[in-house]
Amino acid sequence: MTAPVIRAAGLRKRFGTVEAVRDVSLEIRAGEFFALLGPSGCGKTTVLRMLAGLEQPDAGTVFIDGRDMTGEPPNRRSVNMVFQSYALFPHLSARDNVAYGLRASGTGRAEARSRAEETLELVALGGYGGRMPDQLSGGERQRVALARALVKRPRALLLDEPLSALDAPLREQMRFELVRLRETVGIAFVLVTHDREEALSMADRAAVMEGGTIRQTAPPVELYERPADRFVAGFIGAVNLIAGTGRQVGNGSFEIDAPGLGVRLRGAEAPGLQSGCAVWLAVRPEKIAITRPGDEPSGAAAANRLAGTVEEVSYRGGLSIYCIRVGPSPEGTVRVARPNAGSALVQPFTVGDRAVLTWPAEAGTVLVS
Amino acid sequence: MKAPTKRRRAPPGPLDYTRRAWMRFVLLAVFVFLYAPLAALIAFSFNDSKRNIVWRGFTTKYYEKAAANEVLVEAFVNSLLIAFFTAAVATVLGAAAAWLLWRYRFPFKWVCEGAVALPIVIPEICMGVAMLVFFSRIGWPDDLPWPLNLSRIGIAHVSFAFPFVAFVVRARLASFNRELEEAARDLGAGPWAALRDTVIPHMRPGFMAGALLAFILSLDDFVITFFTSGPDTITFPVKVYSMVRFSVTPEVNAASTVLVAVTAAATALAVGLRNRQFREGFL
Repeated sequence: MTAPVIRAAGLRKRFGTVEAVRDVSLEIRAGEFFALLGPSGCGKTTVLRMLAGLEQPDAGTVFIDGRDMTGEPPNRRSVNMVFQSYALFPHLSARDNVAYGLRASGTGRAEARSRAEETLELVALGGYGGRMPDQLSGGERQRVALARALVKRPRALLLDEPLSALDAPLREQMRFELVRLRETVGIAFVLVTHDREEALSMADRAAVMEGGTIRQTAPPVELYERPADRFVAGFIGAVNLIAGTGRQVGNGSFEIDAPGLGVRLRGAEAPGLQSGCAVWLAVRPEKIAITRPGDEPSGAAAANRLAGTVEEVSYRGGLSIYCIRVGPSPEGTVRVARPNAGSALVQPFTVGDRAVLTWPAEAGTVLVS
Repeated sequence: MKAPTKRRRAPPGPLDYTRRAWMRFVLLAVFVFLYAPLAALIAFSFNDSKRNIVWRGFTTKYYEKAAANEVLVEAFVNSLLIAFFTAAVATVLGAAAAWLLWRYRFPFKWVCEGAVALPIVIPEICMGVAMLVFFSRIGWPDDLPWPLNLSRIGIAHVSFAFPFVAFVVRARLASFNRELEEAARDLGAGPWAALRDTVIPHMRPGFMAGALLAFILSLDDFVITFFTSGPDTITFPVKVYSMVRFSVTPEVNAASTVLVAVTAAATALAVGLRNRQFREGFL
């Protein structure tokens, strides 16, 4: 593994009485697509701004390319930022906007101009150089902002919610383009977003933030399949959380006594689990099979089995969500997602039907917090 | 055969004020009220009559007479000079004050904000007396050569005009996107270069409006000028006032018409400059 491009250790930042960031450490590897994911107000933008030098941390250090950059102003750092509002200079043409960074650091007129044109071509805006920002569409402005941040060939590109101002179809398209652009230029991208789909679909690794701290840093698949805690499990996607008491049973699995349901469930073993502690079993709705009583699978696929009554059916186009009541308590419902493979005009289950839910042991994650 | 349907005109909407007769009348009344005195002033400057009460035929001789009135011309030149000086200095000071109050937080900022706004609300007569007392107290020299003998008036004008500039520029700054300045810094500009390349271009329309405001305020100020002018300094409004004390001659009308023309031209210029978008890049 190569040395990290950006390394932040123990970052803290307080605004008045609000502790926006507390003890954030992260490493961004050369050439990776890294996402900082979290709900609004979790401190993710503040972390990005501290990496850029637009905000000074109260404590902690920022290393860029192995050099301590804490306290250095933004114009001395070899990272560039794409702002949420794009922040294009309204009185400069697209070409002048892109050339700004080169001119500000002393590149000659002619070279700045030709490199600006080259970079505009890289973002598929060749020939748009003479346009003013107010003559460009939202998507085009976004590309100019990208070109402007890339033209100085930074070590990393910092993107602050770059897609949030675009409408849905364009956003989808820009996701692919950003990934492709990162592959072309080969530098690290650090993306701040509150949109889990954005992070899951684009990032090589993502850090999930909440309340000013990082809860988990992992590749998207791992975040989804093996979340570290209940917050990550719920933020990354819909999840059923079943509370209970844990018991180690050996051979790589774990048993949970769920008192509310009066059953024993099995989940994949997780490190640090001890018998007798309070745990939650996290199961994604699409990993649960729903069948009529008597039709349920057997063997490992049915390591966990719950029976109940369909309480609610919610049609979502490609899939349907079923709410199944499996126990009397308010938490005693399980959500199951089932793809509408056949015709969805006739739902296989309706409210009031009896149903059996089964899922294999490795489909669930046991969480201790 | 069906008869062709007659197109009915839609009833006038709330803002179609030219489509209702009574609104048209109100509009006309407003225009008459605003511009009839000015029109009369201009028309009578061409009146061939000394008493200037009834129309006696067209002439431009009072313009010639006004142009030949050396004191009047001197007053006019003084007024223009002071107005240009005031516009320049008040714009720089006002913009700097606006920027400081917008950009920074510091102790007793609210006191500073109030102090800047004070000259706008203080009665002019108080300002005038205060200036008079101030200049005599510090012993500002009375016998400077032209144009330095206008310095007292110029300083007084700057002090009451710059808060207006500060207000206009600050209002403009409120719409500034701070990310622009941050983007400039992020792209390698130092703090001053970022200010020059992002904040100042954004403030520019405010400079224009503020400078014009300061120019006009200075040009037609009477009260404060009256208290700060020395024995041998006279400005146009003060001179017109002294002429009117004897009688309203067409000469006064002619001189005033020139002033109206100068003001209108300055306004037209400022509007024109604002409309011509600032486009020149730096490549």
